[in-house]
Amino acid sequence: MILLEYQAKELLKQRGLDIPRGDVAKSVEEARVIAEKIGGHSWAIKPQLFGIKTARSPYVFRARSLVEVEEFAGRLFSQDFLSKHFGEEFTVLKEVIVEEWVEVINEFTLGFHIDRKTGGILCKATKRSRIGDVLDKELVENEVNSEEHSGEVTEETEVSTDDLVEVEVFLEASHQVLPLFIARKIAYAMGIQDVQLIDNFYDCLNIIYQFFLDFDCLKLELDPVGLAEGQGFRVLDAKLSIDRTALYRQESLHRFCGQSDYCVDRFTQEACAADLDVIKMDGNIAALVNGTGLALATIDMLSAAGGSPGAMIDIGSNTSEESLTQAIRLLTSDESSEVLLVNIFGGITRCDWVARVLANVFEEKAFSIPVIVRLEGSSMSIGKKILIDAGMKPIFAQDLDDVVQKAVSASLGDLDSLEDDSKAKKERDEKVKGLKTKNKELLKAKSSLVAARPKGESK
Amino acid sequence: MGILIDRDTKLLTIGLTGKQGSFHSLQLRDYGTNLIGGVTPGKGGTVHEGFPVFNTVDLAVRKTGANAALIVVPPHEAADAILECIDSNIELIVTVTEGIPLHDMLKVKTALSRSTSRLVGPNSPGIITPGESKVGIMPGHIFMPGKVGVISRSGTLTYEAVYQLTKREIGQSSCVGIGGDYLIGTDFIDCLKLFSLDEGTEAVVMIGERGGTVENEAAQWIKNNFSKPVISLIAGVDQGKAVSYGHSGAGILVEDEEELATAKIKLLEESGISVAKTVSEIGEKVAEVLQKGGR
Repeated sequence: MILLEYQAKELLKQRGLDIPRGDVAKSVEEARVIAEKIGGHSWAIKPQLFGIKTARSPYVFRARSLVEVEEFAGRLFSQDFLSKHFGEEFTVLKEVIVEEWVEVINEFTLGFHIDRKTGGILCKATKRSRIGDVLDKELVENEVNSEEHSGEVTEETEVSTDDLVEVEVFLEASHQVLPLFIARKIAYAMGIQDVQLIDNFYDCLNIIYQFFLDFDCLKLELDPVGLAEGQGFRVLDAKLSIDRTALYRQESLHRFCGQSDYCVDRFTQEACAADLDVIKMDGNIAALVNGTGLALATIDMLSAAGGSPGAMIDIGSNTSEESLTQAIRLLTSDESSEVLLVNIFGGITRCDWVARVLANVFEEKAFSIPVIVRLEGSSMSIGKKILIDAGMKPIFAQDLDDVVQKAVSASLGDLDSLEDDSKAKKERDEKVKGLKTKNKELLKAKSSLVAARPKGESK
Repeated sequence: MGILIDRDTKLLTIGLTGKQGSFHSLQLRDYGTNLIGGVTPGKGGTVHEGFPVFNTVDLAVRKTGANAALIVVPPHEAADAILECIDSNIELIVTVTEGIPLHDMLKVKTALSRSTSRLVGPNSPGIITPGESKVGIMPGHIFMPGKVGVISRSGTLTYEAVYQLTKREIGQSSCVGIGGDYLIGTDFIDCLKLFSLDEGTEAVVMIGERGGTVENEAAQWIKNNFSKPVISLIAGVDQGKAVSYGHSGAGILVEDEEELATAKIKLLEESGISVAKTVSEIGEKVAEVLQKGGR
């Protein structure tokens, strides 16, 4: 689960870290009100968006008057600006941060993450070597300002690694408090010499370390931490991701659940809400498979066979019946789905269970897209029988190659050659028609029931 | 022959009386695994499906002499179960459980570093030495005894690969699912070391995915240390057209060049490893390599 900057900052502030004063605005008017409340004569305005694919360069505006606060906030809230700089998928921005602009005399990036190779927590501090150098985000901001607010924002400039000072420290997950040397190692490398400041830095580092452990963090990046004249260390930006498998013990974070995460389209949002693993491609072959590896391999094979993979949902041992039901509903109702490929190689996931849920959804929704099914492993024959008995007329495939070939053929409209006999398609169509009428009647009966109920009684 | 497990492996199921534990324990017995009991706290002293149940791993080991454990408990209890097995010096701990919090795994990794126990998984389908023993949840009927070793990060892809091998009557010495999680115990190189010492293994199939760098490190190691032929598959070449990702999709989405499937394939091929383009090519590639009698 990924948190937005202001959410991460709120959590860090509760732990006692120094965060610039500010708030989050949902409109231009709110932005101005917040800036007035903070006071001063210089503010940072930042968009709050979930990135996809790669983290994009920060778009930080420095407003030097209330008029500029309104102007920059307005620009960030504008659809054209968003789609131009962040891509077509980002056309709606709900929130911007408005906070005091902090002048710093030293700043560096502090990152914590769980390291795959060492099986521990790696802390990394990074800093540009030339003293007095401005950060990329300031370059962006300066350029915006110097161009008479033309709205042109340049992409982050490439930094050559020669200019970087980098220091890494491996942290044991079992420390109660951090050893002092870690603060010294990082501080000296970042150009901090003052003993009192190093003590202050140690306190901050300890807070961050405890925070990382307490909140089941996967990655916490403070980019940057700034040292302000006479004020100590301040966290100017924060990126935070939390291990979603640990959310059961992080009740205070539940209010952030159901945010978009990596989800930008409706399909992915709904799938994530049902706790499903999903990869949304832009094609027309929807697929339900078990295992991430199999999902990836199926995508590769569909593409190689000339097909066009679409929405992929991958189920595992933790998938509940509700989630699976929702998965099939989503896959069969997504506009882009023209074929549904089902490939279950049962181990812990049992074929009969998947088949039963698939049949139930068919009863309920009477979807009409062709379903190409390959069941193998645990309880496969029972599974096949369930599908046949449900009247879905699924097209069965022998193996992975076969299911991919048949799904590609079906997606290209060559369905007739796949049906055992031409009757099969007709029969399915009739069954679908029958089910639809039945469902309509049920719905009617339900709605008349609701209508008949006296007011105030309904829940 | 084969690695990690054989007829003499004495197994405990941790979480024996649960739904998954019961189902898979019966399957293990049917396969011929020497399953000698299980652990479910609070149910010690009872007998479940004919297996004795113990309250603690310690007691189970003292009473039965078990040397391997299969963990099929829910994710929130799994790290505790692994730590308990490490504490009892169980030689081989196979963890099927998916979704163990990573901070719990950090503690497990620390405990493993000062122990002689070996962890396979988590999120692993398990290990099988066909015809001798199965410690896992894989469908036993698709495997057959033979001379090809299989190591895989993905459960279902292992089944696919093995299914093809068996169809061509190419048997397997041992198959190890190392697990798809971010932090795992035994990795590719650990298994390759064991296969290189195993006289019953003539070739190895290695199935990886995009994300991480374990395949890259394995490629390097194979080039310098491994003389048996290796056939590989890397899933996840086609990520370009993806519109969005959720959950594990985000986890497998990579930004580092070296973690891309294409980069891994290049490195593997440069190390003299035969790489199958799709899963369905694995059987054919293995047959080819075996016929040539080497790399």
